[in-house]
Amino acid sequence: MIESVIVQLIPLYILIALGYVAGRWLQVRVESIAKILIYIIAPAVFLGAMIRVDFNPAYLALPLILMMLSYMLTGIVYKLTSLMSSDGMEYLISGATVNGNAIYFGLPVMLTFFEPEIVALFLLMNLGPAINNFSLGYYLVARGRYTVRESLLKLAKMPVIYAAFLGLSLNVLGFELPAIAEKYWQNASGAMVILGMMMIGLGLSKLEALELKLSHMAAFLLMRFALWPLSVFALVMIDKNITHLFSSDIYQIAMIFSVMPIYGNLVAYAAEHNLYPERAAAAVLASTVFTLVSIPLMFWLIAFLGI
Amino acid sequence: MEVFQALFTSILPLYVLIALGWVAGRFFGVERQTMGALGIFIIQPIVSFGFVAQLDFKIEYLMIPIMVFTFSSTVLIGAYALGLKIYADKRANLLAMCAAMGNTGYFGLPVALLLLDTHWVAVYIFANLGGVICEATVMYYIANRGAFDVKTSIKKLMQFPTIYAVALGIYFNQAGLGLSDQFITYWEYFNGSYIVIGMMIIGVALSRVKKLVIGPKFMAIAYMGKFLVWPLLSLSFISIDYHFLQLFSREVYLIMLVISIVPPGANISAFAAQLDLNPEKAATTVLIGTIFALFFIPAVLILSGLQ
Repeated sequence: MIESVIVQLIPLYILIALGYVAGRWLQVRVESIAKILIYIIAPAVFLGAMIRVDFNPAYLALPLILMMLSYMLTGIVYKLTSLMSSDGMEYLISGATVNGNAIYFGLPVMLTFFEPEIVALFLLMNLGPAINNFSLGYYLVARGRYTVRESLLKLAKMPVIYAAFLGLSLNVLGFELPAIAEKYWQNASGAMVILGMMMIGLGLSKLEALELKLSHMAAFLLMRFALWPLSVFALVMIDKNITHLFSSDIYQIAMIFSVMPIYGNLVAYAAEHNLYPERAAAAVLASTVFTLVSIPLMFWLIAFLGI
Repeated sequence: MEVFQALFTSILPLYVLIALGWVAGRFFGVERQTMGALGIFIIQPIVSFGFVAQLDFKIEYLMIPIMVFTFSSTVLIGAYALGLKIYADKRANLLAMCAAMGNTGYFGLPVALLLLDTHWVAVYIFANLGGVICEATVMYYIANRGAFDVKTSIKKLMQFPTIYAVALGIYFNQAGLGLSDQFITYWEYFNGSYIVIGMMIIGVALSRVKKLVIGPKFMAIAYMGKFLVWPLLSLSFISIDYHFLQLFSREVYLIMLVISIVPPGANISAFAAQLDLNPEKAATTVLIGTIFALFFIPAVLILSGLQ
């Protein structure tokens, strides 16, 4: 089981390496790829996915729950880290807490192991923490020098939110994807997997140096691979035993969601606000490598606990 | 009419992608170099390798790229000779390129994917090597106005990564090496990326055109070469083979025809700039030719009796 999951993850790392090569030696610029992904490909994939979902109003609770969890964990990490540091690292670490690289890194993992229907729910649940990424996450990395208005403007420029909303509305109205749109939706998903993974490598390729102290590294990894999975696991247990809102498929994808690497645009945010971009890159890289352990382990745990 | 409609609607989404690329280039600042490098160095070689590695190669296929080379060189030299008579300056060079250089890659391959199965798409990629070699030799000679030496030309050809990918693909299928399921999964993601990104590259390239500059005479001669002489050459070859030689099947005819009816390549305006000629006139020729192809391609496919 564990070996087969690891084997399935290897192509993702090859794609990251390919992105690194493209950024380092082929003059491929991360900004152009990011724009294509954010403004065109990701909205198209979200739109199609939301139309395909077998819609159930309870699903809307998924992004809301994860959004609240994301804000809560970010707040906790900020409080804890600012007790220990005042050199700006508290902003970087708590800014990294908002979300994992779940959309780009998670999508190919989901496509490999789950039915398209479940993959669509996975994308839906990601919207909540993604909102936090563009609001509180960005605000923290900007060290608070950032108004609520600017934050809302940034959020308003997130086309996946509109696409998802449109898709769900069409879904409720009974609209179905025509066969030809289905085909192009698959093409767009393919492009999203390839470009999304290459983006991680592209983001890393522009930096001359990586640096991170052991204590910082420990904080990043604990936040990402202990705090998040334990919190999500607690929520899963509550629902499984008390509230009974969701099925086991949802528990599984939520738990895998909780062990994704740190999101790649943390490096871009950090560079933009001059907040230790080399450390941000080192954290992204380390967490991405660590995912090679965390995801198989999570699959094993899911099987072991019978979730 | 029904067949026309079916073909038209299956080609139409490709134009939606071109339009999205145009929007990306015009409003989101997506750069042509980034997209081009990604296409040429990463996506195209991987897609080509995957197809050719699965091809059941037959020795008579060697004749197809030779035919393609012959036809494109004939149109190129013919248009150049005619252009020299009319303009007697470097506009003749540009005219020859507009007439002979079809967008067989980013535009032609997705069309081939719509019409043919995997095996024959591989033959299409192989056939297209004839066009690639023509571009690196005869066209390079004309583009550089005679400043040409064999060494540079070979060097140029050797810098084209798809050549190596096709060679590796042929080695794979001759050595009987199979492709793993996992490779096929990601290769299919790359195919999706090729369609999406390739079409968008056309749009991004055209987004540079700030205003339309129509040169009626220039356009008429260029289109005569691209949409009349070359398709007629292909059709005569097809009818000779069909009635007398009987070497090839219907699929090979389709391949020959598609290669000859695609619109002019989007990078012609870059060549125009290189020659110090009005890039907008060239780009306008490409743009209108691309729109024309939406109607022209289904019409020719039906009139030829191949579809």
